[in-house]
Amino acid sequence: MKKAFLNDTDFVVNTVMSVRSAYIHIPFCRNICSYCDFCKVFYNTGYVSNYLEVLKEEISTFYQGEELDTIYIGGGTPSSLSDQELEKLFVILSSLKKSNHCEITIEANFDSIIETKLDICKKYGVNRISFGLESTHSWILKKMNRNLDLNYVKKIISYCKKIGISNINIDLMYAFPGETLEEVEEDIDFIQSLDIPHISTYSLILEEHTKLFLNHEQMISDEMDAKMYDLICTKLSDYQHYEISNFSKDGYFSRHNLCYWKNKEYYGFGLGASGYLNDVRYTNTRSITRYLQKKFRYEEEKLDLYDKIEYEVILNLRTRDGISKSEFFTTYSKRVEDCYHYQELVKQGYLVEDGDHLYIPEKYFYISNEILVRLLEECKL
Amino acid sequence: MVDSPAKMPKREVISKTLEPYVKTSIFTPSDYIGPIMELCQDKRGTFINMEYLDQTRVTIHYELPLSEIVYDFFDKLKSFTKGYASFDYELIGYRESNLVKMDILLNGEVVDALSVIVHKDFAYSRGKVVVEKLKEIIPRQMFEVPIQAAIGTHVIARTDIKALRKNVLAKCYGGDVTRKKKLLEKQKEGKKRMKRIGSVEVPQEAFLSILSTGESNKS
Repeated sequence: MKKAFLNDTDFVVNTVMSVRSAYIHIPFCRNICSYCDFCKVFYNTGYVSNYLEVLKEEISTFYQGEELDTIYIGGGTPSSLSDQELEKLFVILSSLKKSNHCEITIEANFDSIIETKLDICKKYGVNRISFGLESTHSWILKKMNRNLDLNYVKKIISYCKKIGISNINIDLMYAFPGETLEEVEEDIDFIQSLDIPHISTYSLILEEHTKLFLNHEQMISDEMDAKMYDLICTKLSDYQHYEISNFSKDGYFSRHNLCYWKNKEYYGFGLGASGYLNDVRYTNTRSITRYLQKKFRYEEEKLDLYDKIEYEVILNLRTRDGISKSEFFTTYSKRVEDCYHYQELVKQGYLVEDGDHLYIPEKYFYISNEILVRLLEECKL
Repeated sequence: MVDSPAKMPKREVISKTLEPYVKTSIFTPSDYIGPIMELCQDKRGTFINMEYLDQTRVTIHYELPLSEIVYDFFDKLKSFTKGYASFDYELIGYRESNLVKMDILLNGEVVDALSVIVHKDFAYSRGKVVVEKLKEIIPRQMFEVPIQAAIGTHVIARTDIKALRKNVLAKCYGGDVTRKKKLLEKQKEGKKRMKRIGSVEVPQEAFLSILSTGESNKS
């Protein structure tokens, strides 16, 4: 299969340090999943109304008017908003300037998305949808505290394509306690039957303060987890495995997420949102009370050159094509080899040097942290 | 005179081995006589006598090899007697013992720092305990690591540390970025505390763990 580098025509390499992306967080959910560690709030009309007002103000306070290439509406469950609330959100977001080929993504769940909401999304320029499927097995869904009707899934996907939104992603979770390899295979088979261009897969992480953790669920062994990952990679071999957890057909890479992995700056608006502006990585408060009081910021990390270089390396190496040595030099006026002794890792096969690119081969994606730690230990700066 | 395992000569040239012995006096409530005697037997002790101080307290005298009381004897004594027992000891010279040097091999290479001198009769069980303990302590490496206990060229115990299969932050979006950096920095700090032996990274705790003798049988 032809290896398409990430600098394809469907992706603009932005070497100029200006903000071209924005993330907007909609924390509301109709029910809380047992594994969820995200920033979320039970859906409540009063809260939604107040929230959107404050969100509008946050945007007008911080947005500097740049033309954006990507906008991502995540959550929580953005599709838990009513039709009217959704419309209100898009009207607020119309203050963001969009480039001609701006990628506008919204996250949705199958138990809250309906055709009228999709029509509203389409009306306001949404051209990418990311659906949380997570599992097709009823016993797992029950433990997750999620609802799913597989026939409805097919119906909604069909409708998306009918109204011209073909850029669809499905999220899949695996390594749920007690899950088998066969069940993972069945999930992948179902997703493939939907004929969609992008899939994101994650093994379950047992986070503190989640219902699953508090119920003392037994995690799956690393061996089985890794076997599941290998199975997924094999079954999705007709997709480009362009990032550790992301698989895509040509032309459908998530441009917004690539901005994270290419270490680009981006706005983060909303409860618990994170952003990266003017050399500062910041996180917003996760307290709805404080957010509604317009006390937006929770934490800030001012980055010096060494921090930025370290982020450049650890983020880019998540992607199949890794670090572009020429881009690195253009951005930092330093060569990668002057920053890190990576030759030993190349000799051992844990890193591959191929022309301009330095990357972790796919077979070592699942132990990439180990390789990154070794690389960071070899810092010359 | 051998004061470290590395200085132990080869078996072929040794006619006999002697080790220092102590006489211990263990003061305990009489309820715990049984467990204490079991502990001392496990430690290759020889019972000398027992005196009742009164109806509820005794002094038990045992002769024990010094090597058997230096590591965890006191902790076990306290643990078996709910903290009530105490003991005294004095050196009483050298006794002949059938001692051998047990080597530990990591990934096929002898690691001198992990060698230990043990009594031949206890070598097999000690070897098993030590390799299992090392398997718990040494983190997974990028490849499978066999751990072996050997006397000379004869392997007496073996286990394997499976290769690392997962060390990744699968999900990494905007909000995960700083967390990922912190995690990597923490892992980097963890590695600094390790010692590299050949191609295996070994934590400091491993060097002490070779002294463990496993759990004694106790009531």
